[in-house]
Amino acid sequence: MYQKILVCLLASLLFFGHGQTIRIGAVASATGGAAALGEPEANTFRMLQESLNAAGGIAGHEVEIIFLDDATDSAKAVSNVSRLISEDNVHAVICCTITANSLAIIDSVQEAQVPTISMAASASIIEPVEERYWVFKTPQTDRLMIGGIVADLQAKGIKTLAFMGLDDAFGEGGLTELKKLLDGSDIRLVSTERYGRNDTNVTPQALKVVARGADAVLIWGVVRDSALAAQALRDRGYLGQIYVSHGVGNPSFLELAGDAANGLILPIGPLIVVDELADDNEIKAVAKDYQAAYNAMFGEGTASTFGGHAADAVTALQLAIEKVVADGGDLADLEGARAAIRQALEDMPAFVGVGGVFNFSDMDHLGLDGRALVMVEIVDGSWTLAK
Amino acid sequence: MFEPAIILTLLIDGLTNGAIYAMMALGIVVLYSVTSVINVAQGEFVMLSALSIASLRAAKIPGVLYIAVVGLIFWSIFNALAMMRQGAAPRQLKIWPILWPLFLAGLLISVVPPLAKAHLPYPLQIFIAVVLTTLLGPICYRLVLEPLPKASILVFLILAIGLHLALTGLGLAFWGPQPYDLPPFSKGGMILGPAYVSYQALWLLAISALLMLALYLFFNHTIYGKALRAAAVNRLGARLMGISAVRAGRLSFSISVFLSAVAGVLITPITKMVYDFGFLIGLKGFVGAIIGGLTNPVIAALGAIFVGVAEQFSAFYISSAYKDVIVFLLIIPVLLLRSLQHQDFEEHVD
Repeated sequence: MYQKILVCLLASLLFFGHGQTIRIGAVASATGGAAALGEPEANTFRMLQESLNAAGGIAGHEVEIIFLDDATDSAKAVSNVSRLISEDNVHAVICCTITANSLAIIDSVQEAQVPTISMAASASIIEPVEERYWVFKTPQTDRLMIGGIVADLQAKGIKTLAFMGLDDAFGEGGLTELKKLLDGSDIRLVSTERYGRNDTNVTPQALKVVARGADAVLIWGVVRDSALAAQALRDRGYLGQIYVSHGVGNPSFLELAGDAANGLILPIGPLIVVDELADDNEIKAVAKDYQAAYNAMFGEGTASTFGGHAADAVTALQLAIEKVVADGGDLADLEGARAAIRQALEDMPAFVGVGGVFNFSDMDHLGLDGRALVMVEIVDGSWTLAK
Repeated sequence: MFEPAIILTLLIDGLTNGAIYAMMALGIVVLYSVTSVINVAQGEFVMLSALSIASLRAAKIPGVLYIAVVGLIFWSIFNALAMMRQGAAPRQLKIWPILWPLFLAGLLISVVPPLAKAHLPYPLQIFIAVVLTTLLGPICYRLVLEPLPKASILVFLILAIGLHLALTGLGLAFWGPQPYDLPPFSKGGMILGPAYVSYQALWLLAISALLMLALYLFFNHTIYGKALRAAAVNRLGARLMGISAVRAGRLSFSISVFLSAVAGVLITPITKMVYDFGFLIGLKGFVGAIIGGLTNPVIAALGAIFVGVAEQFSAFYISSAYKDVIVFLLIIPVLLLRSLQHQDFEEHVD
């Protein structure tokens, strides 16, 4: 009796061993400071594992997305990634939610030679490409976003700009990109103000901006502080155009900023205004599908840009692995498969994701262009596509 | 750059911030004088009371309730353990010190949730949140500081840092990383000379001034206040006169937490509130408290107001990138001056 069971077990082992499971290791900040970003990412992994396997897996192989939470802690992100690579023998890694963690794991994945896709913003995660051979990413960079703002300034014929930004890596990163982009344009930066993430007020900075008489202001911060800055500017009677960062792209901003939010313009991924996109926009169908699937599983109105970054990372890996299998690659040979997946990512033709059209190359491990962002204006307390 | 409108606006905002910092500074001074605990977690109670009101407004049970209830259960356990350590056999345990915290916990858990669901008017919600948060004062004192009555200032400081980290973590667990807003007591504002002042800022200034006056009257004209002052001046002497060090500690922690809780109510309509917002406010209050030598409440309050005003003016006239640097640099000349005045600025031993 027992012998029979044993034989069956062995046979089944052999059978499943043949249908090699694809293991993707995923790390996101589902708890901790970046939980608002990491939670939709974690949900997206769960949702996509189900839907991919329900559709027969990737190229006929079952997919297992092994998810670990890094609690917004770089040290934990590193240990999670090491565990995924050496113990779970994953084919590829998706990590992490925030820039600091994504930078922290680069050495580990470069050394272990595992293709990795980050869901964090900074361009430094994938540049210089020679030192980031194994690392790709899906979210738009600050440069792309600020490029959208500068283009909008030029289209509106605005000549003087004031900058108010967070006094941390996010704010400084934004200012650096802004200065580079303004260099050589006819737009002058007339005032540069900083404030802290937890400051009680930004009145002095607002007063200074008003006193310098800038035609437009760029507030480069996240939700609470940007709301405060916009309110301070409006309270001091500022009437010029105010731009904010994509960091405020969260319903709670509309609530916090109240009336001061009206008329604000920001660059952001297309998901937030997906219904308003033109029907011939290739991103519209993909983004709508993702939004519908996510909302169906986690509740109406819960789909966010951040989960979209996770979905795009999974899609990129799916396409790469399909290519590897089609070329006769052996997924059981872990090292060979990892290298082949990386190469396939780089060589892949452009594909449409939730956040934009990705065209990875050996020069560019992000591959997004201007289609990855839309300029959104806040009108009567809701996001609308800016004209 | 030197128009009266700008100067007045900066001054009013500076006073508004300064009033909040002053409440922090007073809380720190009161607690330090009586117990020699430097309360690093002073600002966390600002966050807890404000976010509790946000919960009540959303008809949710505020996380502070759970902290209080679990704290009271531990209080009961600690009381039992303390009696056993003094040599009482399990049967000889006095029942009342074990029962009353449990009774209070039961009362809270049965009364607060229905109130939370009842969509009470705003002032009542504020009242509930402030009471619940203030309750955390004696609870934190009993659980964190009281078990080590003879610890050094350094040990107390480390315990307070632990408390700060724990409360910030609980804030994140209960409310998440997103910011919350509260409505102002009255909407809008008025034109004061050349500047605009929001009514909330006036409320804030008025209530904090009243509170400071009340504190002054309490310490100078009530028996409890005088007892606390006695304990602050000489702990041993106070004990000989029948003033319990434990009770003095609990009372002073309650006062300092109450100040924070009210500060949270006053400032959130202006600044919004996030789970990690408290620390920086507490720190700036601490700068004020240092100016007051950690023991002089009047100079501490004035110092804190000075910090608030200096912050505004330096952000405008010097550089907004360095305003926090300037504020914290203020400590150095103050410490230098104080060290010249007092040769015995060492840890006082009792």
